[in-house]
Amino acid sequence: MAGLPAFARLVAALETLPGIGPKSARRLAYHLLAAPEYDTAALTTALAEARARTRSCSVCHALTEADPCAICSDPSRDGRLLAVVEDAADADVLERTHEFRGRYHVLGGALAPLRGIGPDDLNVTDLLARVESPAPGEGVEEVVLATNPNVEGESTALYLARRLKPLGVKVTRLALGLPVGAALEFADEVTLSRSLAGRREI
Amino acid sequence: MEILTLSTDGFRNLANGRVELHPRVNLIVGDNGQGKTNLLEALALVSGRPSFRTHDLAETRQHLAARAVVSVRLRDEGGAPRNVTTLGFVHASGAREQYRDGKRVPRLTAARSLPAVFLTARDLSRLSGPPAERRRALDRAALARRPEHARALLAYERARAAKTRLLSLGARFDADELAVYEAALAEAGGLVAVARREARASLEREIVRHADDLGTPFRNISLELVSDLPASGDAREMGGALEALLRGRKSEERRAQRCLVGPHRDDVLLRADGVVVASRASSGETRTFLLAWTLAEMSMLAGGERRAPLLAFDDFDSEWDPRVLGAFAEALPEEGQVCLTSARPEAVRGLPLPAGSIYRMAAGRLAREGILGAGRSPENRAAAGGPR
Ligand SMILES: [Zn+2]
Repeated sequence: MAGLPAFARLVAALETLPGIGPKSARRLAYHLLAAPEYDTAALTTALAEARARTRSCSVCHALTEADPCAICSDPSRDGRLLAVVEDAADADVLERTHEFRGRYHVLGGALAPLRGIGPDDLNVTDLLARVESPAPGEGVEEVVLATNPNVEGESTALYLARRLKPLGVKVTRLALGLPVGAALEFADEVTLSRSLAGRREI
Repeated sequence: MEILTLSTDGFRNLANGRVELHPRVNLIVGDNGQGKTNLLEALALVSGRPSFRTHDLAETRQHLAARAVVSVRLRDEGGAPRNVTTLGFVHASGAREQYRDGKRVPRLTAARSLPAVFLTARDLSRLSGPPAERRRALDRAALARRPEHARALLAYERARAAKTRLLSLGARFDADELAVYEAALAEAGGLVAVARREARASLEREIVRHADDLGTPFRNISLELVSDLPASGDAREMGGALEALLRGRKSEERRAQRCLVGPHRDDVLLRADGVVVASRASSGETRTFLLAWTLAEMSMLAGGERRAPLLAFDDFDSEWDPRVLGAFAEALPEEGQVCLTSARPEAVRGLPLPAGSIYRMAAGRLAREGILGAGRSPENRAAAGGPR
């Protein structure tokens, strides 16, 4: 890519996206720039708009345009049931199963001491607050820990269970059918529905 | 398992390209510094094992090369000629990657695709040096019996690293978070402890058998596991014992800011007539035990994987007693590929080795130089006067 510094910067920017390696980044960059029909302006506008209009919900930390988000402000959702997920995309995955009628809490990651990510770096304090001093219509009775079934997600679930149980709430974990080391977002809806139905108390 | 060809690109001083290997014995001769050991290191890496020479794999990359690449084409013994598996190792920009038939695989998969035992300069201090090398050798034996041991080891080391990190935060860590990693430590530690106890027993049996083959004068040979954990119990009991130990050393560990108790401190001691071998035996006798240990690892791997492993033996001559080396050549299993390097081929040629090829390594280039021995015919065995 000698003599193409702008192209190289685009590739480098694409490479920072999750799941995009150097090869895919280069392929995407070529596609964006070389395909004549590609409307770069539409992409940049959509990106800028989405960026400007969405924020994190002040209750559950999911991505939203209105605060609180649609799920947090929907009175037909079951306030007794709270699913804890690592990020907003995971809440979306559970939503697609149409099986979960409770509300969500997005942690914003998982515990990873070796990368310096501790409980203070996640939305743990306000999760405990949501359970301890519930908002009107929310009295949480069961917290479903839906962190990823990998090492970091498991440690995070065990940690949260230790913090939540003294608050007198039922704590359950999604488990069945999900392969070890997998990420929630790659699980299909049937598997996920099954692991939701088969969640067990920890 | 048989390596048909070995290819390297940008790897140490080895010439880029492909070499064919003999299905049985490959004796690689040449002066020191020509690349003999580099070739064995390439075999270690392509088969998912750690380098026996460096912790920094960037050192294996040639000056100006973007990456170091090693690949081998493998065939099961007696397998169809077309049924070939390719293993690959790539080291580029700080990361190590293993491949099998073009697909990225974990190191354990690569290791299981090419069972191998290495004996190099680093092993010479196994019996007399610090416990880490002996622990690693015991873990290899445990992996040979049950490959799942790798998962428990990894989980244990991960939990220990996380716990150490939290302890290093001093008083600022979250006690509930520490408890999570201690629970993981106890669970994985219990599994590691059980696997090592079982492996110790098999390894001891095999070492005793092979030490006898090599004509050691010692009797009552034993392998003792020195551990913080009890001598017996199932994984749950061992995990429970570790938890109790952790509770007892809690404040001490917080002061020291590291893990003071557990299987990461295990040691294995080889004893003959009750005395630790390294402390009493001469260096020649100690080396006989090291050869017995090597044959023991090969037997265990052959049993676990149901295939004869590759033996890679660096410096098959200097410092080894020719009589013991002859007995070792005799004791080699009937099947399996062998790669030996030697700077003194004249010391090796008379040994009762199976048939094979002799290569010369010069300035990173390997060239076939001749054939090795006529195999282990009954006449040869009689002439060599081996112990069998
Ligand atoms: Zn919300």
